[in-house]
Amino acid sequence: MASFLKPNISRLQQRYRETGRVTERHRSGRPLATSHTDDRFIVNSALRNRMMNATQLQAHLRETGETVALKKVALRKLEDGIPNQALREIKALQEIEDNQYVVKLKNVFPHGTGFVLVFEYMLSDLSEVIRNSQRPLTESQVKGYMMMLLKGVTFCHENSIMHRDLKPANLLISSTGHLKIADFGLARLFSNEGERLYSHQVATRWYRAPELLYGARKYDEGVDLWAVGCIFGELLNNSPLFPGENDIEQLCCVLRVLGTPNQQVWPEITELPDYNKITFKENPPIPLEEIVPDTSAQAVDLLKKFLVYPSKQRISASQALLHPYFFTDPLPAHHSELPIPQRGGKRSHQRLQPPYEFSVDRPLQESLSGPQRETITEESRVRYGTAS
Amino acid sequence: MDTGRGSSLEVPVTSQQPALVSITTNDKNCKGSIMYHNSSQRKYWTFENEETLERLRYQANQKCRAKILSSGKAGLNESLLLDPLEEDVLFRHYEKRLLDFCAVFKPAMPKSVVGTANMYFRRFYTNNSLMEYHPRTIMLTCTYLACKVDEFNVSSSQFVGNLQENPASQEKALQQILEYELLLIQQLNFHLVVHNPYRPMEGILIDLKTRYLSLENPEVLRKTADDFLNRATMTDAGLLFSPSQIALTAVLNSASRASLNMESYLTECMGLKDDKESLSKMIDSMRRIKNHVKKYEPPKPEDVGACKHKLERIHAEFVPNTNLKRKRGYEDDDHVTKHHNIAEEEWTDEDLESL
Repeated sequence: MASFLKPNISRLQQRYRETGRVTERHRSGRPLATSHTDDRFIVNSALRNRMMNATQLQAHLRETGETVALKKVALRKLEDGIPNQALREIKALQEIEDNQYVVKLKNVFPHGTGFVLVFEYMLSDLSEVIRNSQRPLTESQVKGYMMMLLKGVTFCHENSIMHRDLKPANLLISSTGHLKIADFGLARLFSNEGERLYSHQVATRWYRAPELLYGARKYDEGVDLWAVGCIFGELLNNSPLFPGENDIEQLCCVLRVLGTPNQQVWPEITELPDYNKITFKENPPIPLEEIVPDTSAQAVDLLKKFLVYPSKQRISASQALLHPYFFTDPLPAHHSELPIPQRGGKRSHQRLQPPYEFSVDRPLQESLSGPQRETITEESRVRYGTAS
Repeated sequence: MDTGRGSSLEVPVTSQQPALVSITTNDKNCKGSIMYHNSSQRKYWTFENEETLERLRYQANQKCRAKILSSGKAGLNESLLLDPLEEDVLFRHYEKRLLDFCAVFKPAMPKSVVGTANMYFRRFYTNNSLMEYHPRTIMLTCTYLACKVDEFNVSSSQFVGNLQENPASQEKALQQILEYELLLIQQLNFHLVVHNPYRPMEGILIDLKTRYLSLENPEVLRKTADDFLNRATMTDAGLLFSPSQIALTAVLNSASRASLNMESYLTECMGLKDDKESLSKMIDSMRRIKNHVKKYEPPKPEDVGACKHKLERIHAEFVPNTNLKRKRGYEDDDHVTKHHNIAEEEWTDEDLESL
């Protein structure tokens, strides 16, 4: 695929340079039947995101010069029509208000035999950050990512959206270092009516909550909180916490660390469909301190609150944000202090120096980290960063 | 261990609630925005007034008439086309058929799916003429899409299996549905979430049980209120008012039918006592909703017959079916045949050319 994409793109760019417009003609020489998309985008390069199993295009919006990502949903001539995943994604993203920690769906338009979702363009994702970082992330960087992740998850859950597929590859990183939750293809709106049955075949295996591994069909946003715990552990260790090779082994991985569940620690377990289908040897839990060595006591304490068997006992995202972990030194890194790897496998390089030096003379509020201070720090980067 | 998320039933507990908050927000999870308050429904599909809707439908009708007339087909004249009133007759006829189809659907279809399907149908024909797109196909497509969006999972063959027709026509219906599905979601502007009045009604009943103790058994209101909501579906109420207003009207209407006076619910529990302006607005909205429901009548069979005759002739003779392909944005016919088995979500050569 990619090999033939290239000449096309360069031809498009060429034509754009020559004419200032990309008006394509069909090979036959006839103008293409118009879709109103023709003139809106300038395609830069094709980006293949293996993890999302979709090809995204990076393009500039003609009007504003803004870079966007285009994700195509083609309709196969399949018997069920528009895939549910695409409907879920549109549904979830069309209804929520803008949030800094959720990738924004800018537009949807028909194209060819399907439609195209237009997202804000994101440079990279957290799995790349983890893979490419030469040394483990610093504690403050981990805190920075966790804080953004939790804010995004809080937002989704407050809006009754279960993401159901949180994993590092779905946490995109912008060129400013912001983390945003993406790929709502499995997301669904949940209600608290507790009648509907859901599929348990959701979530990428390593981040799949134990109730899903036991085949639960009724579950809640706790599945996202389990995934958050797994991602947290992965950030701390620089390697996945429960890297099961298959579904059974996945359960083994979890059980090995958390101990074999029983009715005392997990009363609901007996109601799960696959509970009796498989028995494991009695096995005591391993203290998480041993699983994530060299980690602060507060980090371990927070991790423990995510990785518990009963879903309802997992700490909510909004509560987790109030955990002392985020308020003790070292404080969460500001987004501008986070690594921004290049797309296309180039080695990441940490920023050579922080964008500004701390100074006792600066007003306190400018030194506060946290993305809500973005505008101020953007200014201060101009003021202080360029000077240094 | 309190982790801050267990119970989420947030029924207001004080009588100090700002009135419009408690009636425009839903019963559960009072914060957040998968709520009517911030929804695409409120932003894009709740219209100013009845005249706006009438104007939009009139425009759609005129546009389609002009288009057909300009084709200059032999034997064509204006009297063969439908006027807005005739479109309305047929619209109500097919809307009824949609609801009947849903009512006997197996497995039983949840009310919210029916409500969503019906709302899609109404939204679609706010901007389109029945002469351009045949309501029989659109009504099935709306229902099929609503099933998927509302996660009422039935397979496509199960879906058309509910049509009282032979397998060959079922297959044909399915093809049409799939063909029109994309057109439909485009016409819905990709706004797929519909807020129905059913959940707000449950919320109000719970609220009555919790806070309005002068009413002995709020459940007695349910049956009549349900009927009211069902009738309200067949009116423009859903395009003009919030689902919670419709639900409240249903409950209060049911109470007055049972000779129960619930005015103090508005003044005391909804906190409208000292807010005369909101109270009178609220009462006015309810009066309008009630009027819509009261003046609804099913179309007369003889009218339907005559209009249907016209409609079929228009579709058979004057509206060639090719416009669908153009709407769907097919580049040309080869494109469809050549590439239909290419994997989903892959960008093809031709995509790049047309972008």
